[in-house]
Amino acid sequence: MLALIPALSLSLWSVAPAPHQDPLPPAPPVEEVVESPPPPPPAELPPAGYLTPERLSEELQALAAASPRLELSTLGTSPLGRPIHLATFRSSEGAGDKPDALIVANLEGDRLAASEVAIGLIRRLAQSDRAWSQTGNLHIVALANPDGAARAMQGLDPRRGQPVDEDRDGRMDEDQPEDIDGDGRILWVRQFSAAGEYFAAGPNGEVNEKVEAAKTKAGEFHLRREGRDVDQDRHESEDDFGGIAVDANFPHRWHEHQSVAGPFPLSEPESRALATFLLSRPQIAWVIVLDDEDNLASVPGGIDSFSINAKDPLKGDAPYLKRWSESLYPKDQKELKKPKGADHGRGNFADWAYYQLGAFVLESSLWSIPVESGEDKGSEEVQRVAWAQATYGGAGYAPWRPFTLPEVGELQVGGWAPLVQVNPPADQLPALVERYHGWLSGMADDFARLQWAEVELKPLDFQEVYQLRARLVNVGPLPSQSAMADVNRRLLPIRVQLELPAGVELLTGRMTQTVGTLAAGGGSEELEWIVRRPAGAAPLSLTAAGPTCGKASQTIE
Amino acid sequence: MTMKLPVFSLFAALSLGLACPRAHAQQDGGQWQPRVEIPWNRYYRYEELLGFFDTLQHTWPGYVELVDIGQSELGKPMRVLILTNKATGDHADKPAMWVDGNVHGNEVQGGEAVVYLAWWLLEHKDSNARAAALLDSRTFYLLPSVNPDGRNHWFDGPATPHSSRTGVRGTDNDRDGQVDEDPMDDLDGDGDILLMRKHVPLGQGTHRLDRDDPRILLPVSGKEQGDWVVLGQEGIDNDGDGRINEDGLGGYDMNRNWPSDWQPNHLQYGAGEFPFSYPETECIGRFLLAHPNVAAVQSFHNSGGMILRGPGFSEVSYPRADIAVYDSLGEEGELMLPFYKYLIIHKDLYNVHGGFVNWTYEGLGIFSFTNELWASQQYWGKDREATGSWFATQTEQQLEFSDSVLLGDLFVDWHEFEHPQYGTIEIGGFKRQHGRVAPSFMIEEMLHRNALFCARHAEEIAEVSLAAPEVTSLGGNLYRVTVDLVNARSMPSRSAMAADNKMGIPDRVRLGGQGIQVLASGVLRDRFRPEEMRAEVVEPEVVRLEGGVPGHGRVTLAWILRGNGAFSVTYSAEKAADQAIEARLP
Repeated sequence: MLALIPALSLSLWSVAPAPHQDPLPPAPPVEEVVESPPPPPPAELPPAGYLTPERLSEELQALAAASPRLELSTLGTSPLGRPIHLATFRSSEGAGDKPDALIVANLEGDRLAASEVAIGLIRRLAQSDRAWSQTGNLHIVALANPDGAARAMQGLDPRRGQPVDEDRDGRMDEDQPEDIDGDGRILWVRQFSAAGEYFAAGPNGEVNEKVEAAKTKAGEFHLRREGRDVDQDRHESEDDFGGIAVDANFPHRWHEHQSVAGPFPLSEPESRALATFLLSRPQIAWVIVLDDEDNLASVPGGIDSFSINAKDPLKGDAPYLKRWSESLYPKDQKELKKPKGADHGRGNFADWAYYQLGAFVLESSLWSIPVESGEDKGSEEVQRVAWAQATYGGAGYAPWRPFTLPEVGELQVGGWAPLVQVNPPADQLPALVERYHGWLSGMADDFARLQWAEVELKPLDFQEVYQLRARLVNVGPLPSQSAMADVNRRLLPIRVQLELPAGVELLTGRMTQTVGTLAAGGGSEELEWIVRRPAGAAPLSLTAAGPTCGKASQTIE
Repeated sequence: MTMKLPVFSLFAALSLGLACPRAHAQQDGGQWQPRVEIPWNRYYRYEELLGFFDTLQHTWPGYVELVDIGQSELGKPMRVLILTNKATGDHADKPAMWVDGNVHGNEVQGGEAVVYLAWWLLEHKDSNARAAALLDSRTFYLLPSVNPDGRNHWFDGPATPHSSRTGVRGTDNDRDGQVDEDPMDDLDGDGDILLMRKHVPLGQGTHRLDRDDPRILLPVSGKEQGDWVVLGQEGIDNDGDGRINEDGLGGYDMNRNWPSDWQPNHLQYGAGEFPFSYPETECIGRFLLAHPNVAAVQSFHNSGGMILRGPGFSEVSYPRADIAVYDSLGEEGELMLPFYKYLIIHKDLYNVHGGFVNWTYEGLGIFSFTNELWASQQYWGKDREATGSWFATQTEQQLEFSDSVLLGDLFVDWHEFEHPQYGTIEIGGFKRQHGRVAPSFMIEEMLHRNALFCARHAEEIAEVSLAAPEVTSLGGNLYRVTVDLVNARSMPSRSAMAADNKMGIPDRVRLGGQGIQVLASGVLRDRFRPEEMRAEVVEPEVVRLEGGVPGHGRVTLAWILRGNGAFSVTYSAEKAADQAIEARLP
């Protein structure tokens, strides 16, 4: 019943101000009398300034039409018929033999900023005259859950796909949240009761704080989505429209018997489309998820060995995640505060891509409402409400207004407006795009790369028998596959093929063989063959290729 | 041609305690005369099984409907026979049993057992009241082969007793970038894949010949010296990678491709890319999700003589109340199926993640068994203990059986062959008809006992009836109406697994009538103390039973209401037939 989770639990965010802000001007001398400037006009509430799924579609098509560098395809179609687009930028040469990176944005639906950053990246890359990378291809799914985004933009709960009978009464979606006070928005309701889980806090009692067992403060009200008991079962809004979350529908730790997880893994068109694409592209070395979870803001410590319920990366993989965390949050820029990501829900996409496919997975939640720690700062929720009031006036966090619902009695309606807690005002988006574009450019060549070294054809008898020795080296900054891929064995190993021209015969060794994982930055393996090569024969050749480390060929004269 | 006896007359006769009047048309001078002759002494290719479906449908159109729920990897129809008396209601309105077989392509006899079940019930519905009652009150969804492509491979071969367990989607077993490029090869062209052995100088071998029967190879031990090596099944190094038979047909296990406790390939061999990643499993999964009336499942496999239930994995536990139901059916199964043992998959066999009957029970709340048809101990009809291990008799005894009861038919004598990699070798061994499937003369008994175990399983699906309401006046026109729900069968209308995990929709009992206002309702904790009730006042007309009605048990409900005149009580459930009863306030 995610729809009923009150705002508080969805809002565990801290700060990520725009990175390139100018320093504040010095404070004016006290004695100077200056007229205080008029307060800035309140920002427009999201989704103002954000692209609808339809506009995003149109813009992608326009960009693809204008840019030969951008290939646009469709991974699938949402239940409501919206396309799930894939934008692809190929490596400058030999793209077919290069590994891939994949960016997936907004699986949750309400992460509109993630889609904006993704399409911002596409815009920048499409306009550039250089390839994104010499060593890899880049795929971007700018909007993985278009129906969810469309719902979110209407102020509705986004994490809901196909209909589900949440209250198991044999009726589907019969008790949905509703704008009971007719102000045009579905907000929150305080229903007063001594058994309530919340009490009023903050300067004007406008903040909802949860009762904690050890504290003395008693509860004052229940906090619910705005709505009525349409089916008169004494539960308000308990069977909202739809009910399956795309990002709970992947096979790793899929939560059976939770309606939000779907009837079976990959039952939903969006998750199936995305999974089918990843399963068909073993070349994908990096997966970058722009959504609600975050392992860049704080890289989890690695674990020694895999277990079915693992949540953290293996120790062997953690350093490569840390590298890109430090690139996004440089140590010398302490003013860059990090957003806190949501907990990893069961059945989520990012975990599936790491544990079952073995890709290196980075996650960013991009932005959250800035809060500071310190006793004098007030609780995080008090700070968030103050920020919303300062930024949006009364629109971001509506004042609590009394309202009477005949069957329930006195209520208050107000609180968080949709989208405000997880998306910045639209005027902050360009800076976010800029920052992530810079970061992504730094990643461009972060792939494993094979190269032949120490190749030697040594005569053994000064006539026609030779020993061929060669060392296959990974000269890239990434291992040829992740430690998790070593465990799940889903990727094919690096394959080495020796091509012998006519007249040349293999005496020992194999024409085709495999090589184990090669460490980053020079990991290598030496290979040997003995061949009979009559004088005048054509040259031999060696080829090595692996799904996430490209291909290397060498001719031996 | 038989006239169908009206069902009510059979019931009437039974309820009057009279001897059951038989439909004599099928019996003539003690000879039973089936309407459809099917030789139950052989196995059939998939298309032949579907041919029997057509015949049954043409013969009993009022009882048989055929639907295609999907296609196999090679495009064969996944055809379900829906068996029920259409005159007594739609199949979806009756509690149902799903029976399938042959998910492992080589485990063929489940296909025949599925057809046999439909055939036997149809042939006997006019002479056997219980067969008729089953078709009147239950639906059977019958899928003869979950893996038609693998099944036909066993027939069309060349094959071993163990091939093709997998489906036929190309799979890269040896992770070399190619699929199915080094299969077994029928080197001697006799249609069977047999074993290869090679004679080597004394001391270099791992085996020696049995002195009593040189067809048998014995591993050497202690001070013995071997002069034979075993080279595996017939084959060559097709892809030149130095290995033989390392990437044959398919290479996965569709009985590991179901959602409950599914784990990827590195944890569970053959699991597939994700649950329902094969067309065969996906179409069955979608069918079962769309048919919540399925209350019982049987999935036939071979072999070993087992009546298996989950859990498939030690960390999954089953509720005690459901285990009692399983035990009662399983123990009856041991009586019905000589040589078969009622066993638990993870404990008595091995760990299975993502198994079919694990999903149907743990994921859908359906009481589910897998019978492993045929125990090779049955060759001699001796006790397991006297004939070696549980899973196989000793080779010597198997050869004795082949030699004496089938005049050597199951074994191909060793014969020389020039192998491209190994030089002179010998090829020989048991044919595919050995070990896992009953020999022809024993097939019918195997099919009958297993099919009728399904019939018994289906008979034990919950059968809930409503006892006449008791009306107690509470003064004025206020009344308490008490109704007993009685389940005459051993299965509850909702398994404890379903209740614990809130699967599907609970059973609902509604009281209503013109001029009646229901004030409160609930389940009586003590039949004789009406105040012992947790009263529901929101929508009090309906009592919801998350746990359903227990097997061989009763639930007593009460409504407190005001009014007068007639009222009705209706019971509706996903996995039991709906019921209604009318009564009147004084």
